Amino acid sequence: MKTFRERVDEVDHELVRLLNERAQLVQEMGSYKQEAGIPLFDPRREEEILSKVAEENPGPIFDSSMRDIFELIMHRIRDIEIQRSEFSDQ
Amino acid sequence: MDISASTTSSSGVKTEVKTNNGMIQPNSFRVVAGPCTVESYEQFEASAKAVKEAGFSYIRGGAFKPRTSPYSFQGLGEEGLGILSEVASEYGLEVVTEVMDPKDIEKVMEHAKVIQIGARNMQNFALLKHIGEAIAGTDHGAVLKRGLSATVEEWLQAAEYITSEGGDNVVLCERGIRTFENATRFTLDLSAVIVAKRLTDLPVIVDPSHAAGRRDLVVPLSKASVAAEADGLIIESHHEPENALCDGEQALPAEALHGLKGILEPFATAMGRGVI
Repeated sequence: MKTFRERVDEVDHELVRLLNERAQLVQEMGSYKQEAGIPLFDPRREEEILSKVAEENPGPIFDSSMRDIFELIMHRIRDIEIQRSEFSDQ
Repeated sequence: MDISASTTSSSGVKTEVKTNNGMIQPNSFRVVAGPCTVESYEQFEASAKAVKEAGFSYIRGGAFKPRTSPYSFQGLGEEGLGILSEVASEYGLEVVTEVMDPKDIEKVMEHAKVIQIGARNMQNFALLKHIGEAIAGTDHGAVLKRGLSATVEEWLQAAEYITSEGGDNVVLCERGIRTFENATRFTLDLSAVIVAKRLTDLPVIVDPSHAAGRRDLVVPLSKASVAAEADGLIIESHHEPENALCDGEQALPAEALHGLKGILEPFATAMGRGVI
């Protein structure tokens, strides 16, 4: 049991690192978008990402659940972007 | 004539206001007023006179009405459209009116500059696509009301159905959402106005009449909408609210409409805008 838990902790640690790496990339892209006057919301691109993760998903997580997870990740990271853009000019 | 204007919201995110019909203009706060429904020539003319005297240049009025009960008054239909355009042209006003059926789009466009898509049709994707195709490349626009229980994201996706067909001239309209609160008919979600403006380049207006469902809240909510970075209002007004065939309890009487511009102006000035 102890070994299982240790391995789960390791995976979580890596997930946290990777999620922040993704957020960092999105932030950089957000700055670019803001300078270029491009809206933050791009539903076509979001659908591409969601389709791709479902396509690449080997399971056992259901494709639909993987889409839900990524949708939440994208929304929460986008929230950071909206808030950052609000404070960047103050 | 294509008027493209850009404004900068307080977030610093550039808001590209695309408008071919002048409904949304830079540094301006647009007020659209008028009755829920076109009931008769006399009634609509009295309402138009009040809108004109109040200093506004866009009038709303329903010819086709989506009613929860199929037995409620359904609007005057084509006869109502004729009254809308005749009275509006007499008073030099532009018309905003709702379409519920794709087969009525072209006819409505002959009589109105701006097509409204009601909250109950926000996810009627066939209607949205038809409207997108119909207004593409024209000087007509569409106002897309937020569904009663729609998230901001669902609302923006619905707008995408119109813009992806080439109908760029879309204005979003927050009109209150269903919550547990029952002191008001719906709950006006002003945070959604700000979030929608940060995420897209579409202008956002507010309908405080349907959100509150009671006229005493319309003016305070209108002031709040100006402060929440909205680009305008669409409100209900009636020359005799007590005799209105629908939604009289939320309509501003002519005298209240008359004072609205003066009440909103200091708030709009503080936001760097003028009330039009």
